[in-house]
Amino acid sequence: MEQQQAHELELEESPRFAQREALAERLGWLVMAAVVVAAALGLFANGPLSHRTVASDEVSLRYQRFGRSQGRTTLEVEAPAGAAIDGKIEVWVAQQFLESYEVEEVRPEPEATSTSNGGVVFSFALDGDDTALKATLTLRPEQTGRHRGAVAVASGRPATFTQFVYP
Amino acid sequence: MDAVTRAAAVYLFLVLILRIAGKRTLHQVTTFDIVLLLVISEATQQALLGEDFSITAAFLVITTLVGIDIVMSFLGNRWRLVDHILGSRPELIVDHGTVLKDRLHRHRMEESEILEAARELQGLERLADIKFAVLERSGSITIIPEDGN
Repeated sequence: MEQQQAHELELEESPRFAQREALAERLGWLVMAAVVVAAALGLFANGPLSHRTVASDEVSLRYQRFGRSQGRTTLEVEAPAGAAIDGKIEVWVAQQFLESYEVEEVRPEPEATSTSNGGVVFSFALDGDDTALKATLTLRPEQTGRHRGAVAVASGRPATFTQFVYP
Repeated sequence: MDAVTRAAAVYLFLVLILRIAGKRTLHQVTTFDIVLLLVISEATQQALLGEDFSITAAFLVITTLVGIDIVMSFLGNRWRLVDHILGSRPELIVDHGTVLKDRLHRHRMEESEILEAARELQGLERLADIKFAVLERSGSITIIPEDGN
């Protein structure tokens, strides 16, 4: 134990330790500031860094690159009116992706849900011939880690994306 | 399993963040410090239990938290450095009536806080009446009066 003070007080103090402690404290503040800024930007979901849009054939998908376990995340699917067959648009979502999530809500309400081709197919009825589809899937991530997803409309090529889910 | 990892993660995170915050930050100097402490515990509770409100989950969380605490105290007892890293060391802040300014500054403290402790603990009126003031590991200030007081 370092004993440098010339006083009669018996104290387990150490200026060297106090200095290192102060330094570590200030480094910690920097990390805290960085975390707050990163969170504001969306590195931990819900921010400009997190929102992405991908498109493939007739589907356009807005998703989040980051999600949080037991939080909420949305998939916004857009498809033009031309993708409709008999007044219906079928949206296919890869089953493998949905296994890590719980589907909380699909809006608008799909007319039918079925499975095909390793995925879940949501069938939406369209009002008029010139109405585009804008559907939102609200999901709750159940498993942490990186999840690969794919969304397709009708028989078009799927738009693929990945989402990282924080614990 | 889940409850144990949650509790361990929360424990380590809290140790880290409270050490970064410094000894005096949450030392209930003002009413707001107490409110802040309550808000933190509320946020922590959610992370600890998630949506599992079973008695088993609560038991597991409590057992894990207390268990880690015991392990930490063992480690701190075995290696003093661990103890110091987890719980800091005391520091002299007044030496025979002289305030050690750089140390106060480092802990974002003011002279008035020392005088407050001196009044409260020893009924002292002036800095000159203080022989030693120590910022303890807990963040509280202890006062040793000058002889004759």
